[in-house]
Amino acid sequence: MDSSPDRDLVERTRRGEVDAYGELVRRYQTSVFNVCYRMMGEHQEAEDLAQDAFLRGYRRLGTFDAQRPFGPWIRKVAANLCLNSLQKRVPVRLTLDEEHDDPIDVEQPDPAVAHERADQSQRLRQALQELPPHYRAVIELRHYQDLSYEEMAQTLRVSLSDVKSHLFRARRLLARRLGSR
Amino acid sequence: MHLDDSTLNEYLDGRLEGDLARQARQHLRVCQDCRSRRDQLQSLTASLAMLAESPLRRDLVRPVLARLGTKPAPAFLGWVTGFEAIGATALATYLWPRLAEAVTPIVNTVVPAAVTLWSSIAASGLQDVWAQLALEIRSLAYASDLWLRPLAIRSGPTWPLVLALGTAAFLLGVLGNGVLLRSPLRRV
Repeated sequence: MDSSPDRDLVERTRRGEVDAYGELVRRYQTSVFNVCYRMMGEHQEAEDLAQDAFLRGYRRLGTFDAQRPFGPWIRKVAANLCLNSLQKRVPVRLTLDEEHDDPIDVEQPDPAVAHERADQSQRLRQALQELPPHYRAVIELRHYQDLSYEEMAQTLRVSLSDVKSHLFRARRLLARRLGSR
Repeated sequence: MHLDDSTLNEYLDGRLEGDLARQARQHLRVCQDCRSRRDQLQSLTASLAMLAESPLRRDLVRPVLARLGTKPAPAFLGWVTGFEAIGATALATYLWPRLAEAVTPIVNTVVPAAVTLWSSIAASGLQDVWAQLALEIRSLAYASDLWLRPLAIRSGPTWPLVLALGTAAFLLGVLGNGVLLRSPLRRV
């Protein structure tokens, strides 16, 4: 196990020491996998996309500012990769109009189960999977990666107003799905 | 008049400043409906924060490095590098007197020739340079015959030994530097 700081590992990788990148993968594989798992909802697919994210990160390491932390950057790469994958695969099930017009089934909270964290996580994951891809992405970036609105707009290459509308619509949908409303 | 969704979300995300934030705060004090919506959003944020991290079922390091066209360097490479250094030192010690014998006449010829050429350029200008250069090339061709003599393979057992040591050093160098194990993606 290499205890070098991330910045040194990035520099060594740039000089051709691929093993240094292996250490970065070891350090961030769980968090990157969880980004993918939250967005994709399927374990195997999340693992595959986590690998893809590290490969994309490796190839784009030349554009990475080594003075900044590596973890948030590679997690953003992963989120973007998942979003691309979702957009290719899944037709957006809810247009904005449908979102307002269609009645949404509200899951009634079960008091006996509500206290079990695993079950709550399962429901939340399920609710996340029912969001359109861009909504999932803003939830991921805001709530799990703690990005500002401006950073989200830059990461997702959308306007600031799109970020705002996606975020509050995503939250509203999630709240309904989770029976908060 | 209630806070719209966008304003409420921005308020909760700490994006409202100054008067806008103050107005939102004041409105939330008096509006039950907006407080209820705020509480729902805060509850959602808490739920999202409680989502447990899932463990990985397998280590991703090897698959990722394999897809990069490489794999982690085996531990024995450190020993190979050590042997490489010892072998290179022994070879240099053995060869140095012979190399010196070969290099000395080259230095003795090339340096005065270069000095002569440079003096000629400085003295007569560029018009005579080509003529001088042709002369120097002819003299170097003559001198090369002298230089090659010390490098000619001699009879006796020493040159096979040099050949074997050189080949071994080369192979150790290739292995020790991990050339055979490296990814073709040298620059990223």
